[in-house]
Amino acid sequence: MSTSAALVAVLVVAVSTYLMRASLIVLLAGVTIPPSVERALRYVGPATLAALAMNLAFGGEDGLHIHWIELVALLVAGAVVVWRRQLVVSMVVAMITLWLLTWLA
Amino acid sequence: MTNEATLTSEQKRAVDRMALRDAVPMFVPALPFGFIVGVAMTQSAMPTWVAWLTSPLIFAGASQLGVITLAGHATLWGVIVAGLVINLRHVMYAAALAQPMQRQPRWFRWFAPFLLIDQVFALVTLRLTESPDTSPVAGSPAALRRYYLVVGGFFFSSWLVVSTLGMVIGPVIPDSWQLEFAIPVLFVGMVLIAVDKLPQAVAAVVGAAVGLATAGLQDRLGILVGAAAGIAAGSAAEAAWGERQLRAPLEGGH
Repeated sequence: MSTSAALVAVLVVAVSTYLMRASLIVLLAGVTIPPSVERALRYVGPATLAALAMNLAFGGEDGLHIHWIELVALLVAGAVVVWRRQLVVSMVVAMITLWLLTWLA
Repeated sequence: MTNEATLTSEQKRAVDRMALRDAVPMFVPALPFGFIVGVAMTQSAMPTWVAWLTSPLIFAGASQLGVITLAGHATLWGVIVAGLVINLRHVMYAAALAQPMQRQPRWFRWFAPFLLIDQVFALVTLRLTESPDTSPVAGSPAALRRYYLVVGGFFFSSWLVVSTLGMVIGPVIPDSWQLEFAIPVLFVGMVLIAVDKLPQAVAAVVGAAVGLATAGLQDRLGILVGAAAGIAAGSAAEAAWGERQLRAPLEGGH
């Protein structure tokens, strides 16, 4: 990616992020969001992050690649989060699982 | 400008102490996250200094990671749209804070949104729900403003330090550690921690399943397809079953 394209991407996301955060505080103060939009916004976080996680873990330039080691490490991370509700602990356990299985395989 | 009582220096110190006592423990889970963002900057197809600019300019970890890691793999517009979709939830934060912000001076209403990250929103709204008699933040606009600025300033400066540290140390870490795998692990963890209602779980599961099925699409388009499917499924689930609780909601959280 060229420097100018990268700068455009960062600046557009930065300005738009600020506008989203400021939108209803300064720009549209007093405007209420339609209930259907409000409902959809509630699901943007979980849906986007879940899709992003799958794409980063298993997607690539040349299609879908599911490696069993990464799949197991991801499942272990999920189980630890559900059990302990600690992001840091789950990350450490997932990375140790990944290293251990890579070493054993 | 709103008429309001100014704080005495003793009250200011009390608000500062409360803000830091609240903010420091909440930053602990963000430490490895910030570090990974820094490491990702060194591995990005973007020039490293441009990737670093995401910390002071975008100041939103998940979106920064999306932009930094997708650069070079998705089209320019794909990178921008992914970065923005991740941040759409901030519209909800703005909606929730619009009313208390109306009692604030204009300069603060313009500046505060820049610092409006997940943790700042969580702490400020938690303090605003307290009784004005026991919590100065709920009772006085000046105290709310000071609390917000201390919490936001703490997160902003700490985030810059930690992500820069990751950027400096990143190149020394051997490739065999596969540290880039920590990024999807973090995203999965953030989803599972945030989900406490049935429709949210439906949105996450459908988003993940469709995201996985379309992970082979060119330019990482699968992210947007998965996100759109998850949002539609979550909305449909809420319409069908209402917001059925899966477990007690977290206080604070990441």
